[in-house]
Formats: sequence, C-alpha cells, structure tokens
Amino acid sequence: MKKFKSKNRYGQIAIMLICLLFLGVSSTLASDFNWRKYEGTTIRGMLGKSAFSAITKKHIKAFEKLTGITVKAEYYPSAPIRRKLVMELGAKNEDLDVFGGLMKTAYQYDKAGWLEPLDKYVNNPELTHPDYDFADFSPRTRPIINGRLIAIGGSGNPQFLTYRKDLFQKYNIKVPTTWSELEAAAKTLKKNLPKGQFAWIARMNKENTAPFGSFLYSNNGSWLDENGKPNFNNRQSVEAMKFYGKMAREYGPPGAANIGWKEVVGAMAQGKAAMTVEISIFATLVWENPKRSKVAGKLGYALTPAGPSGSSKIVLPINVTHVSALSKKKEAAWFLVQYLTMKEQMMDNKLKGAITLRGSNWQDPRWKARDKLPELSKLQTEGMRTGRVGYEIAIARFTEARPILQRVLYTAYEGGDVQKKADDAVRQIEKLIAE
Amino acid sequence: MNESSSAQRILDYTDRQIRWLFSLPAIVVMLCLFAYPLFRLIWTSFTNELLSSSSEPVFIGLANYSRLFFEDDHFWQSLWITLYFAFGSTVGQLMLGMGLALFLNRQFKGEATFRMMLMFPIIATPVAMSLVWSMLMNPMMGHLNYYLSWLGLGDALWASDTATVMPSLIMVEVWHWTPMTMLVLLAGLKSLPREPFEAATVDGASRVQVFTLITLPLLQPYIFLLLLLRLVHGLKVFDKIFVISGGGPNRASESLNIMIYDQAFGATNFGYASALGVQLLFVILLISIILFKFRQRKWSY
Repeated sequence: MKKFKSKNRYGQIAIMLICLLFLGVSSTLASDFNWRKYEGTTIRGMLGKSAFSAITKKHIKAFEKLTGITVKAEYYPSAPIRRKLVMELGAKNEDLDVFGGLMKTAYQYDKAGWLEPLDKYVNNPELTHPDYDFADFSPRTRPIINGRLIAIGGSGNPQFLTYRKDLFQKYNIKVPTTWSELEAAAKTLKKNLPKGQFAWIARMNKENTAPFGSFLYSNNGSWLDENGKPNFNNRQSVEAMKFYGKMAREYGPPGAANIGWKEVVGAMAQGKAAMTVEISIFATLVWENPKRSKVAGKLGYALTPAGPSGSSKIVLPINVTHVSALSKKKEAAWFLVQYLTMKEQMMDNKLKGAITLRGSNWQDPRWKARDKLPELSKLQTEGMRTGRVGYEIAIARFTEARPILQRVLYTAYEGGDVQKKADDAVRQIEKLIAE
Repeated sequence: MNESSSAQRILDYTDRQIRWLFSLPAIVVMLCLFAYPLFRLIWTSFTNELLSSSSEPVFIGLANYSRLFFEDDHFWQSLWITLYFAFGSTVGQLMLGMGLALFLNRQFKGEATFRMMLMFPIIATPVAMSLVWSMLMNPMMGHLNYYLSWLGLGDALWASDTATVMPSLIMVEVWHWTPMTMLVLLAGLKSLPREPFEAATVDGASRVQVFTLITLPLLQPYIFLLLLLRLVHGLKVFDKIFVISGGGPNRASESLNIMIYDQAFGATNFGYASALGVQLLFVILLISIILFKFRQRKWSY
C-alpha cells in the first residue's frame, strides 16, 4: 500500500514537472514574442462599420499601446467600403495596409492581385504569437482561394429559417424540414393571418442572391461546376429559383421586388412577417432584443428546409480582414489583423453578440453563462462546422455577374420562363469569365 | 518722336495683351477642372480600363461604343428612363409651379407664411428627404397606403413595382422642386407690365384668354429658363433614384447615371462607364442646343 502510494506520488510529481515545463516553455515563447518589433510604424486600415465597431476601436487602442504601431482606422458601411476600396486599390494605393471585406468580393480582389497571402505570416513564429492558435478556426471558415489563405475571418453569419413559434403553435403548424412543408406552412399562415401580416418575407431586390444561396444548395444546385463553369441552368438550380420566386410572389408582402435586408429585419421585428430565411445576426442584434422588436422570445430557428433534390445546407457568409498586397508595411499590418483576431479580442465580440469563428469562443464558460438563445447557438455552431463560406457565384467578376443572376431570380418572382432566363444568364457569365 | 511712338506702341501692345495675364488663373483652373476631366473621360471611353484588373488598360477603339449601341439592350432602356424622368418631372414642376405662382400672385392673408411653407422641400437634404419618401412609399409599412385606405383606395406598390416606380420617382422630384419653379414664375408674374392686362380686361377677354394669350407669352423667357434648368437637372438626377429604388425593381428605374455608377463602382469597368458618361453628356448637350435653337426661332421678344 505504502509502495503504491509512493509510486503514485512520484507519478504525480512527474506530471507536475512536465506541466510546469510545458507552461514554462510556452510562457517563455509567449514572452519571447516581440510585439514592439514595428514600433513607430503608422498603418492605415479601412474597416467595416458594424454593431461591433466600438469594440474594434477599443482593441485598436490597446494594440497601439502594446505594439507602438499607430493605426489610422476608417470605418465604412459594407457598400461604400467596397467602392472606396476598389478606387484606392485600383489606383495602386500603397498607403492602405489593412481592409475589411466579405468572401464574395475576395475573388475579385484576389484576381486583381490586391490580397497578400497570409499563410507565411501565420506559420512564422517571429510574426505570429504562440497563443494565436490558428487551428482554433474551423477549417470550413478559413478564407482560402486557390490554396492560399487570403484573409482571416472574424465573424460569420449562418443563414437559417426563422419562424414565429407562437403562430406555429396557434395554427398547429409543424416546423418545416422540406420545401413542401414550408409552402404548406405558408399557405396555412396566409389563410389565417390578418390583413397587413404576411406568411413569408425574403430579399428580392439587388441582394436577392445572398439568401437564395440557402435554397440553391439545399436543393443540390450550384452556380458553377467543379471546373468553374457556370451551370446554374441545371434542373436543381432552376427548381430552387422557381421556388424562391414563388414563395415571395404568393406568400410575401406586395412589392417584394424592392425588399432588401432592411425591410426583412423591420418586417420581422414588427411582427408583420411570420417566416424568413436570413443571416442569424439579425436575431441576435434585433429580433430577440425586446427594445427593438415586438417578437422577442417568440421566434424559433431551424435549418433551411430541404428541396426535393437535396438536403438542408447551411450557408455561411463571413466577414474577413485582408492585408493589402500593395502595402509597404505588411508585417505591421499582419500584427493588427492578428491582434484583432486573437482569442480574447474575439471573445469580447462574442460576448456582445458577434458570431465569431473561433471554436474556443463557443466553449468559453463566459459565453455559456450568457447564451440566451441556446437553440440558435446550437445551429450556429453547426454552421461553423459544416457551413458553406463561398455561397455566391465564386468568380472574379462577381460584381458584374450578380445583377445577371438577380434578374433570373426576378423572372422567377414574376412567374416568367426561368429556364430560358437562366440559359441566357449562363451564356452571359461564360462570356464574362472568358473576357 | 519715333522713339516715343514705338514706346507708346509697346505700351499699347502690353496694355492690350495684359488681359491674358489676368485671365490666366481662370483659364488654368478651367483647363484643370473642366477640360482635363472631360478629355480624360473621353480617352477612358476608348480603353478597356477595368479597375480590378492587374493589367494596364489598352486602347480598344470604339469597342465600348459598339457594345453600348449594339449589344447592351439595357442602354436604350436606360436612356428612355432618363428622358422619361427628366421630361415627366419638368412638365409636372412647370404645371404645378405655374398654378401655385398664379395663386400666390395676389394679396391674401397669410400669403407670406404660405409661401415660406412651400419652400420647405427645397431646404430638405435630398438624401434625407428621399429616405423619408422611401419609407412613406413602402407598400408594407409606409404611411401613403394607410392614407389611401382612408379614401377607400386600394394599396399601391409605389417604387416597388416595375409599372409604378417611375411615376413614384417623378412625384418625389416634382414635390421637391416645384417650389423653385413657383418662385421663378412668381417673380416673372410680378415683373409683367400692367398695361396689356388692363387693355385685355377693357376688351372683354376671358380669364383663360388673358392667361393663354398674354400671361404665357410674356412669361416665355422665364419658362424657357426653367425648362432648360429643370431638364438638365432631371437628366443628371442620381440621389433620389439611388436612395428610393436603387434603379430597381428589375432595373425598371435604372437611369443612365445609375447605370454609370454601377458599371464604374460595382463592376469597376471604368472604360465602359466612361462611354456611358460620354453618351449622357451628349444627350444633355443635344437637348440644350435644341432648346436654345427653339428659343431663338420662336421665343424672341
């Protein structure tokens, strides 16, 4: 017994020594990392304006203090930032070092040669802090084009079906898992809802291709084939377009053609629409906030129902931060991107409601204690694991291709010949790619 | 004598030519701010400049113009939308402005207050005002449909339908700029001589006859000025369409300016956007020339 105890004690001591050694090594590595390597440098960043900009500003101040790097940061909403970026980078401006973006525009920027590949920075221990833990980002959420890491993803926005739980209970409607069930639910709601309330709402204006992605992939459709050739005139994709258009036409509010995300957010928050498929940040920031919404606590969330030819898929738009390939201060710029996407900084965002892309943030006890929407969080975590980051047509001339696709969806909304329009659109996009 | 006359000649010459020196700053500013951008616009329209391309733009001759005239169906639709908006809104403003000017061209209690209230739309910032209108016209949540229901009228789709988007945009433009046309026409009315009106009254002319045969012809210089200003403004309008309909639905309100913007800042195709810009410039120039010619021939008093 004594022998066993002493043996056990030796084992415990050995484990403690190993742990101490490991902690010592890692803290030595951490303390060895020189954040002040680029002290005195001034960098310029153009970042997206969002509900989390105040936190970013706070982090940038802390970054300046830690590194001695001065950051001139500008914040713009998503549409103006794209235009400003194109102007500055198109003019080969070397003065811009860091900028925010979305995965859908990254193909255009990459083709133009504006994006610095970040693999070499992430893998360089002199430039990346040992605690950075890049493996913490789910492989599905890494912004990779042609095998190169072209940015670091900050937050994601998986799309789900959002529905009015109270109305579903009242009219005895089952949560839809297929398109036919979704349509049946819409039919029941349309029959029972008073004037001024609508069973369904979804974007049908210039932004309609974004939520449509959920329907496209949930019916096994696609924009491009494996060789990068447009193929959205295939049966599954056309089926998805027709269904998306029909839902807006028959169960949505009048004048759906001008409905964008703002209208969807407003209609759901005011209780004027009962179902939608949208990015889930709206739920976190608006719909579940009693100060901003009449339906807080009355909403349910589910995967986008599956089409007849496919199964439910999660579409995951992500916000990313790039280092400009034209910058003369790329290392200092990487320091900023790195700092803003470290665990603690991202945790700050997570606690304010951001859907961060680091797996550890979701396991953090601070978040678990604060999570008020566990049903949605479960879906979002699944989105991080299996979501599709590239959900829009992934070509360099995306901005020219999107209006062509929007018109196909509009034809579906009007009940026109979708197949013909899709065939025409495929030809137009083939021409764009060839140019 | 000879020396003094040659000195005088030099002085005279300097005196005559010194005007160029004084005009030089203005000429330089004009060249930098107007001539150079115009030249640059025309030059870019002959290139394939794609801002998001790593390769340098090359001269492609008339390829952009050929695409515009023979391949891009939407160019002609956009041109039609631009003209529809400009002429529709100008006619609306002139008619309403004339009515209001005639109404205010007399003494009544509260006339000054009424006139001041009519000026409010001009003071409003176009973007903020357009935002308010887009909210008012929202078919689902807007107030306009609510007021229509008071009158027992059905719901309208306003800027959310391809059939009604242009009349809705014209309505906002008319609301915004009618006070200005009213102000100019009122100033014109106040400046007209009394004699022709008195003579017409003595001759027993009806109110309609006085208006059509005396007031309108006498107001022609003012009407011409407004026609020119409002048409050119209408052809160039961007803010209202951009904010209220964004050129939609399904490009039904995509004027040339919106198309240029989308091509330049969306598609980053500066070459093609410049070719469109040159066309818009040409349309404005053509309409201005026609108006001037028309005025010279028929409206000289």
